[in-house]
Amino acid sequence: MKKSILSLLFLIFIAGCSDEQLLNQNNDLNNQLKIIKKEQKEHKIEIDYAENQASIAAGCDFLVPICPENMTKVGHKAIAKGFAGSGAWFWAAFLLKIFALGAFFGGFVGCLWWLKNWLIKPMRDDIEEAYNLISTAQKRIDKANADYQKIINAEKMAQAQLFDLKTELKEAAILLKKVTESREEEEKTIENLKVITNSLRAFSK
Amino acid sequence: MRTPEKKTKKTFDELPDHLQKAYTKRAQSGKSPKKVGEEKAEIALDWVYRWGWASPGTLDILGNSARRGLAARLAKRGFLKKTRTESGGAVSGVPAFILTLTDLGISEVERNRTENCMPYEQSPWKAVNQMFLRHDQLVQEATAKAIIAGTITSYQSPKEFKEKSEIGIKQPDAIWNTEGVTQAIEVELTRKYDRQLDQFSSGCLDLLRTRKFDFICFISDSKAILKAYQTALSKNSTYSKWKKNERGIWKIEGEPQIVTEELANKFIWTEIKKETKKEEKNKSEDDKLVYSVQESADFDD
Repeated sequence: MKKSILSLLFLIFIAGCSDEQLLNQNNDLNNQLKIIKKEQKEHKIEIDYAENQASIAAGCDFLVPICPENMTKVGHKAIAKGFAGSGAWFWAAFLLKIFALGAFFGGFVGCLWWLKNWLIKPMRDDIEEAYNLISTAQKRIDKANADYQKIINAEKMAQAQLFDLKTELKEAAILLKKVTESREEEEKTIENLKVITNSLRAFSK
Repeated sequence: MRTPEKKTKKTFDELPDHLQKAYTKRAQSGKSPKKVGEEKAEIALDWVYRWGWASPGTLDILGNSARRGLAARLAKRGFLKKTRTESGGAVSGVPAFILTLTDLGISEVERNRTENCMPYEQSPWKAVNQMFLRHDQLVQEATAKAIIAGTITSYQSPKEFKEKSEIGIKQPDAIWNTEGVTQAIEVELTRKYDRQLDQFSSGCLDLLRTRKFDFICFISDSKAILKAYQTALSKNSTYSKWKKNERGIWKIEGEPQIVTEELANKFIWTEIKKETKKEEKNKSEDDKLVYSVQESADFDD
């Protein structure tokens, strides 16, 4: 490329010697230049293409190489030829890859989420409901047990009170018996004293 | 010059109420006067046998009749021997005569007796201590009155329970039984002091403990004597036990003893009420009536 440009400049320099000739030469040169520019333009398209492909391949290979081979094959060849592959397509490919990965993982997570909502959640709800039922039942059982315990305690207290009452009743019965006996004895003594007093009247003159 | 009061015969309607009742009761019993007389003689002789001696007044009480002279009639029939007492007539309450059984009387009693026979001391001054005549007369007279009134159902004389009791243990003056109640009769006419009082207290309490008397009745005609014994035998009073030492001197033995409430409650205290002059006058009027009835109605013999 550099050689072509230098030869063209040389021809332009020597073309001043003859106008017609020079003009011809100039035309030729212009034609040649046009051809060269055209070729240059074509080469630039190729170079850009290769560079873009290399960028795509590098972007695809960056961090996690997940792109398919047919997508990176041209790019890998371009990198092998010396293209750096650091153009905008690098980031585009990388981001695309990331997006693809994100989409994949998002889809995966979404699927999982969906699966969770579709399968696990109802089961979990059922289980939770069952747990709630069990918990409610357990609470009722606990309450019933507490009530039963209260009844048992009340019964024990009642039995203790009953025992105390029976004991008091026995003591009262014993006391009553003693009082009755004492009263009977007292009445008997009074009766005896009356009899004796009556008999002792014999000593009155 | 005073002319003797002329005794007049009275009809049944003119007799006092108690005499009318006595005659009516005898008539209702359906027994002949002779049978009633025999029963009275039997009761009187048994009394003398059980007590050792009796006064005519006691036998008249036992006769429970408007007519007196039962003792004289029994003496006349040879069953009883009449002996004059030393202080008879001079001291109030001491009988002028005492009656003891003759051989005939003893055999008559033992012939009719259903219970065990006892030795009988015929000598009057061995049978009775003249020092205690008033005391013993009081006991006999009251026992006879109580039996006739029906306020006691049976009795035991000292002669009877002396046979059964242990030597050295105090004996009551009489034992009276009334409707399941056994009472010891203790007539006290003199006061005791110091050792004798302690021994008396101890003896009375032992009587309650050993003989199972329901009550011991103390009778006295002196309020002061009764009060002294009552104090000695009241609840929480103390008395000492006495014992003769080797030289024959009385010494207190052990700690003073306490009279418990239980035993103290078994003592009954009775004062003999003295007759008023009005009562004595009424009694002499009754005696006159009795003697007039005796002359007018010859029911017994």
